[in-house]
Amino acid sequence: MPAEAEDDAFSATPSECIAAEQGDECVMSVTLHYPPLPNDRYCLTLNSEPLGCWPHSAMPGTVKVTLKEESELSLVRESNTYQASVILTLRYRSASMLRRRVKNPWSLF
Amino acid sequence: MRIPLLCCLMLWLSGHGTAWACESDDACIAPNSWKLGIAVGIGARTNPLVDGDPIPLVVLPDVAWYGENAYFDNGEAGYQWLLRSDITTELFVRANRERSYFAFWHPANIVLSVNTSAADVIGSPLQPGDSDGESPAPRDSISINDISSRKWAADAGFRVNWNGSDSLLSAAIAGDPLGVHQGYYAQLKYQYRWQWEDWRFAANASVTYKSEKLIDYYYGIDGEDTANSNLWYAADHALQTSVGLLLNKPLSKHWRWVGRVQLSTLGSGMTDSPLVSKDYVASGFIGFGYQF
Repeated sequence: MPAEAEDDAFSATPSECIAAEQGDECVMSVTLHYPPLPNDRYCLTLNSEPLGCWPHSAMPGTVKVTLKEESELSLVRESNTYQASVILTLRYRSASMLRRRVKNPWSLF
Repeated sequence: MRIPLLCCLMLWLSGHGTAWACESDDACIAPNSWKLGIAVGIGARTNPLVDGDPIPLVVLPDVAWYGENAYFDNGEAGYQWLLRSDITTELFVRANRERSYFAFWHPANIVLSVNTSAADVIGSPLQPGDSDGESPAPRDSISINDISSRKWAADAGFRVNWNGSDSLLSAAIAGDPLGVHQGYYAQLKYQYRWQWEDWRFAANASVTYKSEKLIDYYYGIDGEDTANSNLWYAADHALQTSVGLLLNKPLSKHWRWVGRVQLSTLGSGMTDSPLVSKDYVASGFIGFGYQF
């Protein structure tokens, strides 16, 4: 994809949230970059849940999101003629990524 | 008497160590990864049935794969959710072990090659009424060689695990999705892990209720098994208890000492059967393990 198109895309930074351990919610602020937006009102949604709606000239530069799983952050034009999305991923600190096995080692028989 | 003694030993051992953190040991695994290992040593599981072959334990594989939710772990496949540090739940399916007592061709025996007579030292049942080369006289006993075959069954069930930093309590219930015995079982199990110097221990105690249909399918005797109605037996449900101890001492990144003992009582619903000659199942193994 040309660099110009990349610059014009809707993006969120960072796109990955790191939680302490599996099952924990992960809260972070993401900085948003918008493509040129026609004059209209736009909404941000997280997994289709509305975060808010603003006129194109007052879109927030950052939003605070709470992730329980990999989530989709979307920019939606109120007239529904435009939509762009980014995926926000969730990761856990390496030590906590380990989980107990259901069965004990060497217990096949 | 045997189980209280083993319980006391485990309690004594569990008081002499530190908690076993779930970090880089064989009992823990990262999502989307495999654990493959093989242990070679000596051991066996006794067979409580008349003429039943003890199951030798010479080679123990350790095969586990965990995805984000799905898993396969030593013969059990399942799907976990509510993956929290303190509680997990899962649906699981696996082969029912009951049938393994009736056949030499248990999966355990496919990867092992052991002279049955040598294994008998560990736990051969009595075989009344047999005599080499003679035509059989009317018998007042019955063995697994005389009865109609029992089918393999699968367990499909639901389990909840409560995890402490060094303990695990789990409750499970499983039925018979293939409709072989049409029964079910329910199990409550407690496990305590600790570490003493380089040795890692896991002691467990469990109580298992097995329904009448499950026990009767495998250990009941009727006209399909023998014409001698004196031997017919309609089995009742059974309450079985079990205690065990696992030990593991890493020798290097890949090698470790591996050992385990387990003792289970069988319950009167099973032991009252003429097919059953022992009221317990014991197993033990000690050897070297290699984790790839």
